[in-house]
Amino acid sequence: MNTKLLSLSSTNTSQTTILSTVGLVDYTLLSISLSGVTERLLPTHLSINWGDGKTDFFENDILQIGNIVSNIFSSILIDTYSHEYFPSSVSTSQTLTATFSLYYVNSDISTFTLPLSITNYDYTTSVGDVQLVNTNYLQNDRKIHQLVTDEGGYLVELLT
Amino acid sequence: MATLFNKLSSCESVLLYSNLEDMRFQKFSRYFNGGYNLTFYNALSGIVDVKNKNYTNFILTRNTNISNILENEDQTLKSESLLTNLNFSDNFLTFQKADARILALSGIYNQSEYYGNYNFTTNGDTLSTNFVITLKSDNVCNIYQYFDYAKYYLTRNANNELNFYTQNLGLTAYDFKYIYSRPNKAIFLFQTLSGIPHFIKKTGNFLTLSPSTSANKASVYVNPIYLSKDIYSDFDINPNTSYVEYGDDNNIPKNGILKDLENNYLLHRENDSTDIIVLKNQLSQYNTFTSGNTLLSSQELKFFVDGMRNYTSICNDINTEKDETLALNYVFYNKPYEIIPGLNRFTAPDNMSPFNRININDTKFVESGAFGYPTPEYADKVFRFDDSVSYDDGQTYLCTWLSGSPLGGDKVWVDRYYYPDLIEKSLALAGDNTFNLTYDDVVEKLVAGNTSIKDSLSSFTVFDKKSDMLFVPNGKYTYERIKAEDTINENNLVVVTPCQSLATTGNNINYFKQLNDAGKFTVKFYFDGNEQNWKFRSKRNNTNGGLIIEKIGGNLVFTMDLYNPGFVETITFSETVKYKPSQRNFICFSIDTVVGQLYFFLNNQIVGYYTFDKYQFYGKQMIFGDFVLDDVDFFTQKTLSKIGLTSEYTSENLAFITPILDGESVIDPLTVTLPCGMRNSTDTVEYLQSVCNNQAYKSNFVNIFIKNIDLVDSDMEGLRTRITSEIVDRSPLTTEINNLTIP
Repeated sequence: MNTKLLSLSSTNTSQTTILSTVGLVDYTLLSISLSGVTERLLPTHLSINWGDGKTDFFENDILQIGNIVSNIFSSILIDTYSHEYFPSSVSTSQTLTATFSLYYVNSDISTFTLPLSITNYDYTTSVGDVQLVNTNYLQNDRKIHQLVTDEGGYLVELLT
Repeated sequence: MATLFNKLSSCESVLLYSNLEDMRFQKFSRYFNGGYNLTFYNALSGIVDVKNKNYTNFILTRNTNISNILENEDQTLKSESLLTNLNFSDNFLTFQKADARILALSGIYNQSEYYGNYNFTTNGDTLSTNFVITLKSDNVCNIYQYFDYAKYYLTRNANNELNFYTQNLGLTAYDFKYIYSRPNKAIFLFQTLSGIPHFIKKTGNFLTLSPSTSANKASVYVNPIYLSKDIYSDFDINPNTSYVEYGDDNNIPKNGILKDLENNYLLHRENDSTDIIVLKNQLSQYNTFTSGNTLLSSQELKFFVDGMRNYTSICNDINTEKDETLALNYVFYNKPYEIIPGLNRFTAPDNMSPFNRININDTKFVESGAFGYPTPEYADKVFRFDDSVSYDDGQTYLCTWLSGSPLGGDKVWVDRYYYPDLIEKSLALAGDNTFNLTYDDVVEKLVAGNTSIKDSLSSFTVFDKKSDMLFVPNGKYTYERIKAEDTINENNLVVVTPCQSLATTGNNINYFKQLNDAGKFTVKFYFDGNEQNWKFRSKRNNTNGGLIIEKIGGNLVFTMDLYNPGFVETITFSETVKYKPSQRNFICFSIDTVVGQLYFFLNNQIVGYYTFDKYQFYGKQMIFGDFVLDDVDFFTQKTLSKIGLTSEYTSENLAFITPILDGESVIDPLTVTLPCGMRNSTDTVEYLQSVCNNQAYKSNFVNIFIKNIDLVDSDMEGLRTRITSEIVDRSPLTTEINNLTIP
């Protein structure tokens, strides 16, 4: 699994930011830090649409005094948010858009739009060598082949 | 026969379906050039072994959490509204109806029922302190009190003051933005005035709105409003393996759970469905739970049950259809020994890798349940057969024993030495330990390095030191564990004789004088937890003093009255407890007026311990007559059994083990382990093979009988043809139809 860390930043509470496209390669853990986002007003919550159908919602917590870092009171600006992106099952690359919406106590919303381009590894890179470990013969000349991949040691079964 | 060569694009990924509806395996797919895709299941990543038999697959997974294999179903639900009090630093917001007279003074003469009011009280458990918080999207909420069939909302009025009003009044500012701190169940409420967010805080007896800006944001978090309920609820259905310990009260102690243990899993695939078997990675080779993994070490870890096994392969497949046992190979690193009450002899492993030898205090015998006691007589003892040790200053090694209380607390293995010319071996076993439990290496160095201290040790007849006992490869050891036969020991302190006069003459009259002379005594007995009520007591004259133990319904009432003739007063010690119904119960009472202490003991714990002024009662009478049960001589009745009476004080530790020594309860066998390098063993899984063939014959040649069918002959023949032609496509590949009979 690959990893990628991005930091978001803003200077006012109603800012709309469109980031440049970030390229991810195959199965990747994307981590987002909001430590550079303004706390001029206190945020109430953070809503994340990861772009692949998954959404997350985080309440702010300003009572975690132990977490006060560099005069930041809001837990949602201190924490890091991670998400696993899987390669496409229908194409060799795909483009997604992740959206981070930070809501403030005066109803302001700061929005960060993050275009993502996820490129699949080709077969050889992602799987490596495969070894055929077994074949089951079924009726009507159908067979299940069991292969073990070099990368990840997955047992992959194919029906022919 | 079709060709073996297929286009890759003709391949389909085989899917892994659980045979349980709610269980789904984690997976992801990849699509590759050439038009084919592969489905990767986390459960099949890093698999250990695969075995096949016709349509059945057995797959042994890696050692991992099951949450890494199955889809996570944990959920957090948010309330839409909740009934809670609002706590401002122990001052609870309290709703009040507005006073019509005061409203009139403000010029409000009509619609006074639309106005509410508030105050603060220190009691947050009343109807008027409970408010409804309605939670909307985007962290917006409102707060109201339901009073006299109307909802009074916390609202900002035209003067920017906060109070309670019904919505009939036409005010609109009753929505608040909120920040919620879940760990603290605290909420912060905000409204925006003139573009500047303001937060609610308590100022005196009023709720006020204060600006929340970048400069003063620190002032917000010091004004939380605590709720009595959490806005969110967790549904934790994490299926990971856990080790749970139950306390004596059948509750799980806070530190009694070890969560998220890792296991190997056996996946059994049969046609399209898969079931999952959690393997026994936490069990010893004897299939027992024991906290005995010597190779695990952590100050925080209470249990050492993890990693007892690691499954490495499927040893043999089900090779015939009669054989329904699947064998799994596993490796283990801790060799178990079962220790039963009494004497146990064992030999240490011939290889103790990764150690060359191991001190007994570095083993996990204590965590596994070794039994400690203040003297070696009843403690777990370990002896090592070793002729090579000699001592040059007169002392002789006696044994290694576990020093500590059976009732709890720290325990340490110590070596007992004694001087054979000064004390007999049996007495040396019963002697109190010289060093207490706080002994550590610093003291040991001090003693060894100081000649005068070292010489003074010879004045002791016995002494203990932190154990030097080593377990070495192939060493021979004896482990002795307490059992009932120990009562034969003549130095036994257990109260088995009524008192000296009774023991020598058999006369059980007026023995209470002897107990009073001693200034201390112990009485113990057993009773059945049936429905019979009884009253056990020391007989009395007009003086209100002595011991009473009364069984009434499901309760036992202990009462000890100490009468002080000097002040003509009685001090009463009393305790009411519940006994175990339908079981045998043990009672022990012991008092020592010399030291000034007494206790009531029921089954396995002290239910009442008291101290009193020893000078007040020393030399005075504790009881004023012999013991009776319902006014019948204590020793002639049949309700109580195994009666013991002695003119000695019995320690709580001794009371604890008395049922064991009496043979009324048995101490559990113990499974301890020693490191043994990497060893192999086999685990077996019994599996019902229902797929391959006819279970009655377990052969691939089957006969088919069709009975109780009422068809004309022509239809019967059609049925025969149909079955014969289609059965081949519907039965397993290896099945051969031997005969088809239609009577």
